[in-house]
Amino acid sequence: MSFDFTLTITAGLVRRFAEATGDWNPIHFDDNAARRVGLSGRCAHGLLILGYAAQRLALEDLSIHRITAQYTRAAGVGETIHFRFNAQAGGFDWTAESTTGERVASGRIVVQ
Amino acid sequence: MIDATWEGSISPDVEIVVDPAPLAAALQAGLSTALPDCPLATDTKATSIQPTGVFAAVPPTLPASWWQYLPQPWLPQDRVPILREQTVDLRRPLVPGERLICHVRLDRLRRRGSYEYLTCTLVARSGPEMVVEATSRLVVRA
Repeated sequence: MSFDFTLTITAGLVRRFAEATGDWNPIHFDDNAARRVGLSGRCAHGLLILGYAAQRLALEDLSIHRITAQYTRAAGVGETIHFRFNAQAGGFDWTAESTTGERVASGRIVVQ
Repeated sequence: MIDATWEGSISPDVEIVVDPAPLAAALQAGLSTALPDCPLATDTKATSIQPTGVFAAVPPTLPASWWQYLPQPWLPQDRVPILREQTVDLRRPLVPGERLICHVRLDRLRRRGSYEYLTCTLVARSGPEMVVEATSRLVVRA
């Protein structure tokens, strides 16, 4: 089984995620702050990307036991990210890529 | 540079009440536009925190957001940590409203070139029961 979905990272989503988690790291809101640490501009929280991946599987009514993520590069505000899930024994491998195919994050979600 | 003697340190315990509503609502906001044909993603009544609704289950990534509530004196205040890797191990589903005792441990601190790499684990317990371990690997400029 495999499935996917696409999500555009808007400033509104990032702000709402910050309000929910308390993570107001300026790299998510201020282009200059992001550039000072080597990013191309303000970006989504890594946990926002992982949160959407896990929540998509929650819609399948799956019980999640383990989630892993490797963040390859930051997902910029305004970018559209394509999430893809491939069923493997005991769970799903997942990837998040930009529209140009650049890997943003990947990992594995173990379900019961 | 981060003082190497912090490695192995454990923060004081902090009690955290499991409140899934803000994160569930934030994630639902994106999924409702990403999955317009999925009733569970778009029906705000179904996805609000209903006792039997999908989102009544706590978002599994919620514990990974609790770093903000735990003191981590080893983190430099003048530099921005960047998240590189993350793992969340859930021993059981979390229950909305339950109170967990949490701490953070600095497992590993390494310096390579002009960067410092930290591996930190957040541990959440309910009495003697281990409930969640969330590990993050961060990088900061030295």
